[in-house]
Amino acid sequence: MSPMIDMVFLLLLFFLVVSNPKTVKIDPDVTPPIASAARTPKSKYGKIVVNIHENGDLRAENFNVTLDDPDALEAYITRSKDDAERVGHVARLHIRGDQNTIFKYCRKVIRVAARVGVTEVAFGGYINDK
Amino acid sequence: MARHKKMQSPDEDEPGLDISSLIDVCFLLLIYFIVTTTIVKKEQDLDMALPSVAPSETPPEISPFFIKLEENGYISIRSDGTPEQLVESDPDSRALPTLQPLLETYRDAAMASSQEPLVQIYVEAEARQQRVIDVLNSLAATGISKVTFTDLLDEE
Repeated sequence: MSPMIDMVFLLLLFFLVVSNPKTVKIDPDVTPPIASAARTPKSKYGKIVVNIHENGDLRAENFNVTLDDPDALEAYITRSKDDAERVGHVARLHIRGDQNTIFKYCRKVIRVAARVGVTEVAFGGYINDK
Repeated sequence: MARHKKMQSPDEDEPGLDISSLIDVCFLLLIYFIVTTTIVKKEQDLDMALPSVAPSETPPEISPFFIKLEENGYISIRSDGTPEQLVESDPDSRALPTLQPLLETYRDAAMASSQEPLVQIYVEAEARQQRVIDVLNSLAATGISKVTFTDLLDEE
């Protein structure tokens, strides 16, 4: 029995070491809209996540970082784009906008992203309201 | 007694490994994770490619399909120089039953001439995000991913 347990622990350690999980942190203050045609993203890498709260507050993927200042927003997107491209990923703006926010905040983010050369945009949403 | 010991089979002399405590720990961990886990709704993506923010010097070969979204949720369209027409007026409906077939017709026409369908969207600043996503959702369902927001150059 003991060699089997050794093997199980070795396999466990192996997968712990080699796995490289990448997930988008979920800002709990954002309720994304319903989009039945939304699909699983092709790649989890290269995402530049911007959370847009209902009142228009902008937050980075680490939702403690506010991006309300346009310069901070541009710096964040530029830095994230450079980081993604340095390791060979395509930078993609990932907008997690609250379903009840208004579009002008979203447009502000898209405009800044386009200015720094990010034209791939993905809108986060749930495929149903369940 | 000593004679009895000599009669024991070799298997009984091997040291045994008591794994019952290991199994106890495994079950405790399993129960802990079952109790503390919260199932998070999985988010999906609506992918769009924005061709450019700046106006292009070379106009597209195909005339773009124009969609206007008003702040009250009304959706109007214009295509091939036709006058603007209101197609959706229920802002609480997630499905866009009138717009969807029109987009499919436009897509088929573009594909028939070997061109990529191009949609221009004008969204009023106060329009709700959910309504914008309704329009983008229809585009994604139709297979149109080349979208331009025509108001990106406007001053805030």
